[in-house]
Amino acid sequence: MHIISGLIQLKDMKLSEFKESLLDRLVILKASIVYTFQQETAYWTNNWANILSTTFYTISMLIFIDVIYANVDSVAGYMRNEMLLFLFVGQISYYSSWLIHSNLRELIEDVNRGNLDLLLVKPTPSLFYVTFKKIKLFSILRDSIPPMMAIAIVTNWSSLNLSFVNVFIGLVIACLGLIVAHVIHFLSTLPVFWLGESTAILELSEHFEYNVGKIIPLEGYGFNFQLVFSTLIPVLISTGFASSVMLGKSNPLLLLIWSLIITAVFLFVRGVSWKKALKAYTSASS
Amino acid sequence: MLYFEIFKFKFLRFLTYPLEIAASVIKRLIEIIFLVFFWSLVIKSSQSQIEIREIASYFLIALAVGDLVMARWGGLGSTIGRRIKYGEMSKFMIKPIDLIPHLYASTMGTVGMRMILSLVYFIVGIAINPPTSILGISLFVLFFINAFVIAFAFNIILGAMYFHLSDASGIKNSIEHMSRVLSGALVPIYFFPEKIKYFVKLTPFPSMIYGPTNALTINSFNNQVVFDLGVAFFWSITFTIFAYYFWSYSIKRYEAVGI
Repeated sequence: MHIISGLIQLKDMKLSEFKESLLDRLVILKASIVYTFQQETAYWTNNWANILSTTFYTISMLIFIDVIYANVDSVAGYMRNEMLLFLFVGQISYYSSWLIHSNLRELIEDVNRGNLDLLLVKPTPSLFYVTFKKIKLFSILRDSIPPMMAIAIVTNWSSLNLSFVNVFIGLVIACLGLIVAHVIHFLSTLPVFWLGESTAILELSEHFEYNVGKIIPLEGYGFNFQLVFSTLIPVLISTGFASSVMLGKSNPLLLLIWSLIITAVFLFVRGVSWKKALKAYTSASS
Repeated sequence: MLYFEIFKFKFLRFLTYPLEIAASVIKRLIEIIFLVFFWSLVIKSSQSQIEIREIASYFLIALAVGDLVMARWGGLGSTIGRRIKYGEMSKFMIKPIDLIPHLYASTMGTVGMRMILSLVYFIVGIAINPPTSILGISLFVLFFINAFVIAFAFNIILGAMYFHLSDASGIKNSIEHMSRVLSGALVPIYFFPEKIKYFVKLTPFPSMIYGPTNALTINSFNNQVVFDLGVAFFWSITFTIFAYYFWSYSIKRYEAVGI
């Protein structure tokens, strides 16, 4: 009897702790969104030229695709409109990942300058806080909508073999791929705890994800490369997997399960690595 | 000598973190490997007679030329822009040095590793697909000098925009994105449809990367070569004059507090 009531008490305690921790995280998320919005709109005319930059980038990519398809009918089995969908998914995932990406650069700077102490002495979940310190909703929406519209306009959607189920599963895979890509970038920032600097390593992982995952479709790689880039360095999930599933070129359930497993493994690795990194952290301040 | 010391100082500062150097080198390698891989997929699907060896050589040389003349990423322009944006020009202006050579040496030092890697790219590119005539090599030298002058002036113009705008990075990036496609760094110009190719060749962008890269494959001096050389000369003179006057006019607008 005592054991059962003890177990119930323990369960209640854990539930209330979980609720409290969830509430803490929601408060941090709200504060991050509000604070970043205030920061982004304080000098809001300053960065409007970024729209020009993202739009011109997209125009240059559209010219690139048009020039290629003026010479060939398909690349890696992708017709022009399928390649445009691949570009569209790639751009969505790129902009989504940049919502919180700047936090990684700030983490490197904070560790390099010994400012991380200020965070560690606060009663907040440190990993959650460094991940969502800033959420750039306003600037990402502002910079992404015009170029995304440009791609959507030039794509002949009716020629694509899209079904609701495939698009839905593709979007779920894209979200999982975003999480995995974020973890890869996060892991590449951690050497800063041991070496004092990791900006170039982070840039390498960004570059790798972009070049491997967002330029060449999944079908462009041979089996061995597909395996490596979807397990060891899984940069193909957010765009390659997602667009392949949306276009009905791959088995949606297989890729969904694969993406779920990889995401779970990478999230676990992230937690363990963060704890190890914190143990290595040294600073003379505070 | 002074500028060499500036270059050396900036370059040595980069060597403090060896793993960072390794990451930078791998980053550049990945860029070229996957660009060539992508184009190998395109060539496989096309009816063209181009071999993978040729396209690999093209991109190795094109990326090398783009980096060496700073046409691909506007290194000098970024340095100038950053200094103006953060009001750091004052401390150089009060010194008995020439501003532009100083900023150029400083940029070269910061990207020294990139430059070394570009030389390696260039040598490998030449080794894979060597030029077959002396004419090609001579034309390469001519086109390369022109590319250097155009890109140098281009960087000054991009950097000087910061005198007029509080943050010109958006506009600078926009121009660089277009330059990436139209200069031949992402697509060899001969892949463009015939009508568009003619107009693209009239812009200053192909003279910065495609011109020197393509020159190495030229075997005979024909009208097309004369046309390409004429366009390159025209832009190098026009850009130099414009950059000179734009810089002289813009620097008078510089404002900063303290040194």
